[in-house]
Amino acid sequence: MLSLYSTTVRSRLMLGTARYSSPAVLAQAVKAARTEIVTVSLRRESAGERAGQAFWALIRQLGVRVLPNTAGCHSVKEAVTTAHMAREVFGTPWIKLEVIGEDDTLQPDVFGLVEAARTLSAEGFEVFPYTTEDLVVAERLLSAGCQVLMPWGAPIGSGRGLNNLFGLTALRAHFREVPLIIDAGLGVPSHAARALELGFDAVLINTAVAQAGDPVQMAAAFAQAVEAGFAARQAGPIEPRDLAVPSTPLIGTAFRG
Amino acid sequence: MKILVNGAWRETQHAELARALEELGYGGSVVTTALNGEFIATTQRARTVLTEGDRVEVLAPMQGG
Amino acid sequence: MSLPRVYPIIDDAAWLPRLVPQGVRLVQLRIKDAPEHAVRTQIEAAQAYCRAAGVQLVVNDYWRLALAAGCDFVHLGQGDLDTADLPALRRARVRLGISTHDDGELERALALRPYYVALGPIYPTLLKAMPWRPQGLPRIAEWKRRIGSIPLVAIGGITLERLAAVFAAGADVAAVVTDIVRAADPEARMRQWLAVAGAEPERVSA
Repeated sequence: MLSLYSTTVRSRLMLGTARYSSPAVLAQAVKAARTEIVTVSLRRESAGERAGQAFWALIRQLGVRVLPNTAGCHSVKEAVTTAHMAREVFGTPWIKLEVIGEDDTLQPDVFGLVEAARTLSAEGFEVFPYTTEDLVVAERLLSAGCQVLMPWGAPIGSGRGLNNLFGLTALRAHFREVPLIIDAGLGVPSHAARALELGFDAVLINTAVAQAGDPVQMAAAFAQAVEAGFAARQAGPIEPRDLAVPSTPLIGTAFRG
Repeated sequence: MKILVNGAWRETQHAELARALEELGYGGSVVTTALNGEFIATTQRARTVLTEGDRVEVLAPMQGG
Repeated sequence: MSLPRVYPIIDDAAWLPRLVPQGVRLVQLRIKDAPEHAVRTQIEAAQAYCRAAGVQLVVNDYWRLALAAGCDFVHLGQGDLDTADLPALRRARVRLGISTHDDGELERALALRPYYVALGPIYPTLLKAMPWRPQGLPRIAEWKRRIGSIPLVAIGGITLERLAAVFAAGADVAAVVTDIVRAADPEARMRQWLAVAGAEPERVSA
């Protein structure tokens, strides 16, 4: 069971809700993934349109918990205002905090991220910051009031997997008690399994499922991968070695001295 | 007066944000609002007065990653 | 496990989008005198909203409908205890909150190992035609002594002005109906309740 702020969940797979071909496919993927948490966002609504209401009704029907994001925010002010708006509409103090610094990589503006995290934590939000593997930034985010971190695997939507293994494993080793959720850039289930094997607590997947040929099947595959990775971690994997160690005993082998 | 609503110029007869939203066709929608970058809670809308050139954001739940 | 300190009780799921965003994490849906289909719709709407927002919903009385809607927490009065299928609720891992007014009711409640025990009415209330005289603050202290680490929910006539005293007397959670829903600005009143409760020190559970 995974504890995030004062909530406990069984599933270590979280899904983003963007970029699906249709609401029906989204709903089926969410069920196939057996996820308990999905990310959602806010967008400008045209007068007379009811798209927002329809989407929100669909999400509520699925019985999953929402984690609203501040996607598209480039400044502290924008992120904080968006968080307030999200809390009003979604009713939850949870916020996936994104303060984007650069539009090609969509990488976080870590300075703005820490400041926004501090402001929002003080206002009672339960912040899930989308961050890098930088240890100092992580420390600052925790001091600012975050109890969970969401380090990137690779740039959003890139499907590259765990880009900086050294940095990510250092982050895991450095903050043993903090729930760490790999968010962004994972492409295939083996990336997710690897993340759980390395000891990360959960993964958040969006594009890799939504844009797969068969999102529902891919969602199920990711669910299996996350369970496998977690079970493997619990089962105590062998350590990698540089030299060979025979698995078949040499004693009693024929044709030896 | 002319105000910017979700990036587009709109004309409104009403000074209060709540009435302006209704006039613009948002009555009955689940939306959240900001004025000139500041969050305006639903309960504050009736008391929030608009001026010429104000920027209003009207947002609703949407898909997100 | 501890419960949030503030526990609004509403009679319509439409209150949820108004009150929950103020910071509410625990809420009871108490509907009286409505046809079953209407109650079912209300419970389903409340369950859907609370699930998404991560708020703990407690359904008063209609345990069958609550079970069907996938709710995991039900509040029962002593009368409800006579007819509720408690083994079914246990099998479904539904948590129970039970109302008590006197020693006999408290003993009956404790035997069922509830998730919380409610005591009321602390003060004279406007809502129910109560057969019970107000319990008062000393009764809160007495109840807390007897139930120990099980959360004690105080209910009935609690106002913002009385809230600190109710906690000081030993209540873990303060339930509220009228003081919020009949306020001129319910959202603001809800925030004030949460602010006062938030200033309470953490209770260390046994």
